[in-house]
Amino acid sequence: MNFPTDLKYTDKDEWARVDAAGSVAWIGITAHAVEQLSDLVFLDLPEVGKDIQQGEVFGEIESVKAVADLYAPITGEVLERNDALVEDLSILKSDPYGKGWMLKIRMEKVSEQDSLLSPAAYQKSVNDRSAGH
Amino acid sequence: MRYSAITPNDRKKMLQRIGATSVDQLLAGVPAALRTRRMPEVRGPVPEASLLAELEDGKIPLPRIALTGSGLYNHFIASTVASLAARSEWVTSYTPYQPEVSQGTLRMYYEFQTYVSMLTGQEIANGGMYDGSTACVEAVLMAKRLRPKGRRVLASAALNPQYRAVLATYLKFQDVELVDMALDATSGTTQVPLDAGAEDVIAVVLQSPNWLGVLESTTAIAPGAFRIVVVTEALSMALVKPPEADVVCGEMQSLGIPLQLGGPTAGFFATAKKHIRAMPGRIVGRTVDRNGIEAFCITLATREQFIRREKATSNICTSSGLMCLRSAIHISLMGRKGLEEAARMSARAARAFLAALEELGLRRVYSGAFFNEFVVDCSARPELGARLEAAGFLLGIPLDKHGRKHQRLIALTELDYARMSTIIKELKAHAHAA
Amino acid sequence: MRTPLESVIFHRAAPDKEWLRACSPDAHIDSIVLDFAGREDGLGGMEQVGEVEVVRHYTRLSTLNWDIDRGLYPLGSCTMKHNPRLNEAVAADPAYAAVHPEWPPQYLVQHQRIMQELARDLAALSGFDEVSLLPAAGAHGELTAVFMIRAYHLARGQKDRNVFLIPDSAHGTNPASAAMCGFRCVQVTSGKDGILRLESIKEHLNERLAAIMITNPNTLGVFEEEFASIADAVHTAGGLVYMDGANFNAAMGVFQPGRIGADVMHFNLHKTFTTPHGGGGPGSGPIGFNRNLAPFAPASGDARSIGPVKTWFGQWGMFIRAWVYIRTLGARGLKEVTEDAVLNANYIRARLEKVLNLPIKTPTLHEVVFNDKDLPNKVITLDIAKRLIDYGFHPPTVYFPIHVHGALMIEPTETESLDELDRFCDAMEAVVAEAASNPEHLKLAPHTTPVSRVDEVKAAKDTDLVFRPAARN
Repeated sequence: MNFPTDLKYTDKDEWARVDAAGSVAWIGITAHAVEQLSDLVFLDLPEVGKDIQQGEVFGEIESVKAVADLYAPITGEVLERNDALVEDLSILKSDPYGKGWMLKIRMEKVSEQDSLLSPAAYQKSVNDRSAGH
Repeated sequence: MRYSAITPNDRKKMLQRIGATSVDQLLAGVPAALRTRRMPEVRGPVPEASLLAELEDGKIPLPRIALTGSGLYNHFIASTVASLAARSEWVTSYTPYQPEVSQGTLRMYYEFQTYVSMLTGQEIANGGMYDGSTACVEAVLMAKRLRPKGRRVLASAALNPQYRAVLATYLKFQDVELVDMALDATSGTTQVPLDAGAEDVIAVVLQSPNWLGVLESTTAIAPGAFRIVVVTEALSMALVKPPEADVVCGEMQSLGIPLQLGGPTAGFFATAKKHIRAMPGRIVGRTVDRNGIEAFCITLATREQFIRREKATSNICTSSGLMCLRSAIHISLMGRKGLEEAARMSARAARAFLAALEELGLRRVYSGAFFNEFVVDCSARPELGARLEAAGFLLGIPLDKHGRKHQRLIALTELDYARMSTIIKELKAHAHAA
Repeated sequence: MRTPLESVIFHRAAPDKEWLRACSPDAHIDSIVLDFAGREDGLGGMEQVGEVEVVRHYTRLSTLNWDIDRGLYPLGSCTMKHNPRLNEAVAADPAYAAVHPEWPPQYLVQHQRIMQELARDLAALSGFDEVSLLPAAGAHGELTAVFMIRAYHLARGQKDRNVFLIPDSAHGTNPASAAMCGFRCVQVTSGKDGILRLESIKEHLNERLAAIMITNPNTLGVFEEEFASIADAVHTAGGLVYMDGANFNAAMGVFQPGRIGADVMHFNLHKTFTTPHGGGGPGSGPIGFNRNLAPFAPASGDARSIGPVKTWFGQWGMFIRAWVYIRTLGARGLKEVTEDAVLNANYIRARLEKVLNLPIKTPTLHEVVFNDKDLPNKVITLDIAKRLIDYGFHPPTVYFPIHVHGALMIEPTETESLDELDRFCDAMEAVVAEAASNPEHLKLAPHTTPVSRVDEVKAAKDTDLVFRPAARN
């Protein structure tokens, strides 16, 4: 499975791409999450202008038979929302880390990204969880 | 035990296979201290014929004429309904979670949804609720999800009192105030306050025909209000389109479901397509199978409790499938023309009977348009109701316990239409015997 | 012999077909003018079908269903047992079916007596002090109980008790019911042996605790052996114990929830007491409760009552069926029900644990949960379930309970014969063997049904819930 090295991750399968200045981040869900959910039918994202909190639920994604909460990897205000993704969830399958971004966030605390997982740590988290079955 | 299919010999073989010496050993997971020592005091076993004889001995003859309504109506149900609905495949199947072996039930739910949509004039409908009162509650709870800032629900004073009481139970625990909207004393219609569209108002709940039989309108309600229209006499919809509303919900009992002392019946719930994800209850959708053949399945189940758990749109699991089936069969048998005819007969029977009451000096309490039910003031003949009752003729429902002295709520249906001359003859005979 | 796959009824409808006439027209009454504005939309496009075609249609549709009368319907947690015809015949009698609840009491004497007896019998079986028959279904009974629990704490001035403890093995209705009353649901984890331990709830035993909801036996079919000590601890902490009575079929004559620590419980008359499932209802969900909660019950006559949760008396049509069933069996027969239900489930367990993984080995009562671990060729629970249909059986409950990965939950009930159980186990063995020999065939199963696996993604994305004649051609 693909874990891009320029991203930070959560153990709940979200990713964040922080810009060089540490002021703006794009967030989304990982290819692993997309695979686990399969057959996606609905995505609920907050509106532009809303604030999201690290570790708190910011939205929901549904497949035919499951609902998953989306947990914010970082804190901040929603600057943009990917409405093209809401309309066509197949993008998540083809390009989860690129065109499949969900929100663009104005970051509140630069230091927050330090609490996120590195690609290697995230990979380990995925492996540990699938071994648990 | 009558319904056991295991013989003593089978039991022996099975225990051997399991590796246990007795059934009691299989119950060993229940600690001895928690086991029941005494057999519960439950009568039986009673063989079939003895049980039927006992029941027969306890039977009391039904009233000969009963003009009772108030949300439950004695309408015509063709013999065909009971016969078809008694088939094992309908009665003894489960909720259709496995679509490949449940296409019958699934297709029926889709038909029920379509019929509800046609009758209510709403875009979509669900596959039924427990009954009308809980459908009304679910409509209010849906409105609350859509209007999270709301704190008040405005309910008509002519909402069926039992529906109002059930709604009050649910809202008591929701930090929501239930406010009554007064009636116009002349017409019997609800006076909706001008601020009904305010942000803190979750919904405006009207019933039409209302509990007192009067038809309501929503045209004067302020824009922005969330309008819930409850219909407890479903046959009225064959002639009178429910008022413009955001949700039309209510009771299907009038269409193919026996009185059954008030339950089980089936509730219905219809709304606009834009509310689909907020809608409670089971929903069946049309799709295709792996080979492209038309197929049906439960859909948008992610709203339901077995997936979304504490975030579900409702906690409902079992609904009222068999009663929905009866309604679907009944509507199919009657068709548009049959429903319209039965509705016209009900409405005309009510007017013919009202005219007979008026001849006796009784008068209708409200002037608003009505369908097949009305309130009559019997103070001119206070003894009439009791005298008729003694003869097995129930002159509607006395409303004294609702603080309406000498008033009675009277409903007629096409079954009364068929006996109109008898009904009026008896009425007059007892009235003149005074 | 196969009939064509029947679609929905609207294809048979036309504007000029016959309709069913209730009664002869009466020219005299028909001269009355109706003074309200009629609808002008042609009743939303409704047409007529005609009686013969209606009979054909619903008969053909019915044949697309699986039903208990055809054979084993081993849905775990659903208790799909034989539905006696006697119950149906009595319930259909006009003396019981054609009665209006607003009639004067002299007409309802027998009905009232039957309801009192049913409530008394349910109380005797469950050990609760009182029973309210009112709730319309199991989840509705649960909700009623949750309301009562809330009212109880409020009456004691403890409005901050807002936490409901719910084990990971719980039915989805439990958290949904608790949440509808504004409670916060906290999930507690059962042990590796499938049993909820007092230890695992200790941290929640505080002034925020409102209640714990426990299914017993739980959804694995395992009796919660620490039930009484958990109940004691919850009571000491000021909380209450709700027991989900979905599995009461494993309790009759064996244990009484009301005497071992539960404060309130719902019954499913459509599970334990043979009222039919009807393709998704109607159910009936009476609740049993002890004296401490009695003032809060619906129609308790006390000012602290939560108020009604349904109109009139509840699901009378189900009460009379359950009453007939209880009288038909008596106390001894009901205990045999539980014994045979446990025997049948353990027989299936003994046979199938040789071929399927049994994730939790603790002894079980009336049901057993396997899963898809160790199946070859990436065959999963869904494939097993679907292939079983081809062998002439309804699949077990799948993917529930949710704390068992790929669960296959089997509840045969007491009304199955040894012969039927053996044929079911033979079929399961054959399906598992196919997982190794012919996995592709499994993954495309079922092969013998009127429709094959359904495109549920399309159903959810292009929602089509209502027939629109114009849109179809």
